[in-house]
Amino acid sequence: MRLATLAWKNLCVEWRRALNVGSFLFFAGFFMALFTCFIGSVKTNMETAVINALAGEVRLQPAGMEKEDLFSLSGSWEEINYLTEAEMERAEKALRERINPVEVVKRVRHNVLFISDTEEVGGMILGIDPKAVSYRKALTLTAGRYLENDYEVILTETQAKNLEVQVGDTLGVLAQTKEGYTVDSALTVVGIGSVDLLNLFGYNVAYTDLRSAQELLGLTEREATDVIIYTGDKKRALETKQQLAAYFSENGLPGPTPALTTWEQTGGFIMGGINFLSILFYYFTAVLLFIISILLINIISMTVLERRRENGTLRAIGFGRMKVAWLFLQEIQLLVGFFGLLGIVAGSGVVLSLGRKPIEFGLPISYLTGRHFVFHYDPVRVFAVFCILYGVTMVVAFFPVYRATKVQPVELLKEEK
Amino acid sequence: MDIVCVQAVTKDYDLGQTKVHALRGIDLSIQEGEFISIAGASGSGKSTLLNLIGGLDYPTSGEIRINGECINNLHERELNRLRLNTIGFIFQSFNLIPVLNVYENIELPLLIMKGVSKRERKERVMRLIEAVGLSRQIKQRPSELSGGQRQRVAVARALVTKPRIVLADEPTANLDSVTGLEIIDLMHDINKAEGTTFIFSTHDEKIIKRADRVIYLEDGLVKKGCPGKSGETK
Repeated sequence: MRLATLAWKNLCVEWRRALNVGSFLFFAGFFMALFTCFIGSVKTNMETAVINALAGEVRLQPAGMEKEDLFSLSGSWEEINYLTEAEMERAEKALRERINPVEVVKRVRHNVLFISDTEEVGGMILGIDPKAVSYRKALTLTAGRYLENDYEVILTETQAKNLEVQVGDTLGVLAQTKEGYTVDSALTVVGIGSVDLLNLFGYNVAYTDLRSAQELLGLTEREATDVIIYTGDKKRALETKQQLAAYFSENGLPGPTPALTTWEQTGGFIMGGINFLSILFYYFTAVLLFIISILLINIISMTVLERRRENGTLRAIGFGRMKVAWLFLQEIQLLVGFFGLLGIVAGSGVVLSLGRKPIEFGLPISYLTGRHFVFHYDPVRVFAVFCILYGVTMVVAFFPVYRATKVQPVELLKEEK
Repeated sequence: MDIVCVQAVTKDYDLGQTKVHALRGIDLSIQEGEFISIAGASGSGKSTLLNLIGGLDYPTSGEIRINGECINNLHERELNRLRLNTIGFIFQSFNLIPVLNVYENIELPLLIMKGVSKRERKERVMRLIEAVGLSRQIKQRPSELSGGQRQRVAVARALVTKPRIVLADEPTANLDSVTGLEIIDLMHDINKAEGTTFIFSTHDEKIIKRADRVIYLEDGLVKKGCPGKSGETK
């Protein structure tokens, strides 16, 4: 027999007691796996929405624009920064030679004034190639269709509501060109929708076709305010940015080197908001873990108290305090190793099965999840949860166990009489 | 040399505002190989004295020497070593580990004993199981044994580390008189065969008669005798 056998036998013979602690660890593991995958999915989905709706993985824009917050509407009407034809040519060459992007979206972004028959509302307009795919993944239409032709616009639900327009209506747009002239244009509302996951951050951007937007700013067909690069792997954004930066530095460009930013930099205050939300969620997880710890301490304290006689006997026959404590901890270790892991596996199973198809959510949860929430299973995150559960359980178990073994053996044996 | 020497030992318990004087100045000495009974009524201090000799508790004053070594100020780790190597315990309520079978209960102290190979462990356990007559119950757990059988397991467990002293606190109190006498006779046989010193407490006159020497305690004091030769000798 080995000492571990005693721990194992204690669990097997006293299975009701083991089940008591074990079921608690099972549910802790289950909910922690579920919750952490939910948090991770919300964060991932929001980041993906930022990338698809606006930021791309890497953005290339005129020099000196690195610190610009893409989502901010505070950009001035007067100051228009754009990539010249020569810069665009060099940038396109770099993209062709250095990286193999999934999609490159040449874009014109500007603050404009939308004018309907009844209302005037300021807002941001994004001119993109109507055939672009990525923005469609983020923008959920509630009416109409995506862009197909020139002089079309897709409004957000908020914009449409404020302007009191519907699909099929014509909308006046007032903008200022790069030369400083004010121009107006008429765009047909072909779609109304929203980027659900960014509603929480007040994301309110109208999409139009690239040519219409270029005309509004007085840009030529070769000019754009920025270029959005989709690599299909957001983790490689920094690497892609560095590759492009190296190319520009080696080959030189007419004028100052264009600014390159990753989606995390471009995301501006929305990324800050997402990170804050994650921290908030992890704070709740920490509180949950704290409550679990308190309950666990109570359960283990009761278990150890019930076994004072065994503790006293072991001490009397020569077992040291730490040896006895280790025996108890071995049992806890087996319990968390089995039941905790079982809970994690069950939680993972639920996440994987829920992740097969989007889950429909209504307000207000849809602010976090979007209308169609997709669960992402992250094994690294789940493994980290197991490690945390294991670590926390062992640490919180140590205190009642250590306290119990601190009692003099004579006291432990006396209790029984 | 005395294997156990107790000099002017007192033990007080603080119970709130009351102080209980469990031992009021005990002097006694025990030679190696003796089979001694500590007798006295309930509350006379028998268990307290055994706990102090066994290093399970500390005296309030006085000195206890085991094999010439004063154990009063021993570090907890050294007391553990003493309990593991030199002293074996037998309890009134057996104190077996309920989830372990007979073999495993007896083997338990050997698991933390250094220098005992697996083979030697098995030999020692099997020899003792045979000696206490439990060869047929080897796989049974304590709950499947009678009181007498449980105490036999406890005796074997106390002896498996080859201690020089075995302390038994009312080992027959939870047994019927016949079984109690059987246990005492078993202990006596081992005492004669192995030379192990046995010190057991009891208030049963029939059991007391089996002892080679009896030390009577009354209100925390040795009733008769003087240091070194306390009590009555048969």
